[in-house]
Amino acid sequence: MIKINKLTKHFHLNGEKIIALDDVNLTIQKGEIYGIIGLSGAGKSTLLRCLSTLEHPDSGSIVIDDQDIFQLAGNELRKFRSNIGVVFQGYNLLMQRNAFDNISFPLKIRKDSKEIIQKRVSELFSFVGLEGKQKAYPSKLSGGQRQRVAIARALATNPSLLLFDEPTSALDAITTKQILTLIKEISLRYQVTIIIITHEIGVVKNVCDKVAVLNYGKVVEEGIVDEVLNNPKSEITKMLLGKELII
Amino acid sequence: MNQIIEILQRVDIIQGIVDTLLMVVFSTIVAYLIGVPIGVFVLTTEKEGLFPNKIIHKTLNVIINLGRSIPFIILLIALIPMTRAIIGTSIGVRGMIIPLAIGAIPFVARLTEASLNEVDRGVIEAAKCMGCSHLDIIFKVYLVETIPSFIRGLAITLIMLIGYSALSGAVGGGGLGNIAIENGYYRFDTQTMLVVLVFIVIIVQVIQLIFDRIAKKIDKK
Repeated sequence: MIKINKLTKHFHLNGEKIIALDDVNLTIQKGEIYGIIGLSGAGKSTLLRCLSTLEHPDSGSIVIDDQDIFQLAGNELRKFRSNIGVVFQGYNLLMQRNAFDNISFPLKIRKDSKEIIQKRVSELFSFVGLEGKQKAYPSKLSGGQRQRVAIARALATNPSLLLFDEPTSALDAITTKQILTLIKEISLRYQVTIIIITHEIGVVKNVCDKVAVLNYGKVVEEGIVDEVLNNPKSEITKMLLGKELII
Repeated sequence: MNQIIEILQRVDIIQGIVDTLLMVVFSTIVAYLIGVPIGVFVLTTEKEGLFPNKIIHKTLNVIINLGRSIPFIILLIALIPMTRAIIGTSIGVRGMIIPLAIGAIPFVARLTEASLNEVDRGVIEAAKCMGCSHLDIIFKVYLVETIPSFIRGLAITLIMLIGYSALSGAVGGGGLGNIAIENGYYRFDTQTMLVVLVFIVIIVQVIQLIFDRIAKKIDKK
């Protein structure tokens, strides 16, 4: 279980104080697919960066399985990080390593044996549907294929938490559908909690169990997807829903 | 044509080439052994780096800039006593390796810093999220992701040092530069100097060609 307590974070930009997260409280249950939606600048990315410990909040805490993640350091922190998988918006693949080496990278860092790595990575290649692409370098792969490599890499260590940052923002409609299907398959097959950051209501509708709507760093609405989307209370949720109708 | 053959018989061009390459290769090795770690330190100690440390970062920056602003000919002369103390001589091929290396260290440090800086910040963050230690990030991410630009930088350094080594001919260094200066400058033998120059040009072209090919071949980006 993930408990986000009173998370607050602000930045200074050109002398101006920008509040990225304003007293955010959320509880995410094990195995859920949790969507966090909002417009750009709503604080979604900051929240994700806090969850992956890349960013520390000004105040508040995130407790994952009874562990306050901002108290971790050194080996404990690395162990925690290798137990979460992050799929970044720009994929962030290692450009000088081929698909196999990208996916096996977190396992090598963890010093798994060659046999284990070989077995795990082949399994992942077939799971994400990239058979035959082991030797391909990221620059030779399409956007959707890169996304699959990034997903396989995030899954490699068998993490208990998987974070997606705008997983479909750079993909066309058909590829988006395929990636969303893949996310659902991950949830069915692995014991993993999934948090998806997005600005597309379609993503939430298609794959998420629960959703939190973020606006100017505040959670304005939260709950089971059907309930929130069928009966939106806040202006921003109505707007996000309306946006979908136009498209 | 006969004149060229006469020059080649009189002057030991082959020895000159070998000497130049020896000076350049050894000083490049030394310069990289010291310059690369300095470059890594400069980058990793900056504000958003792996080990932010304002004092080390600024000090290294000042040292590098100082090193880069000293004209090489002055450095060459200033280092004579030190070279003599370490190597035993300050002339010839052996006497030039230390000054050439020291002249190139700040340059290599900057090249390294610039290469590493090309690595996308997001990739470094991804590495952190995969449980990489700082050393993992340096050796398995930064240095691996920048191999092609490292190779290109190596060509630039080698060629720069060929130029420096030619300059060192003026203060008793060996190699092609020495031959060109002794004949062309001291004996007004322009023809010999031109022949030697042609060889220097060829060496430079060959190095650039080879390294460009290698860099292109291994760059997967």
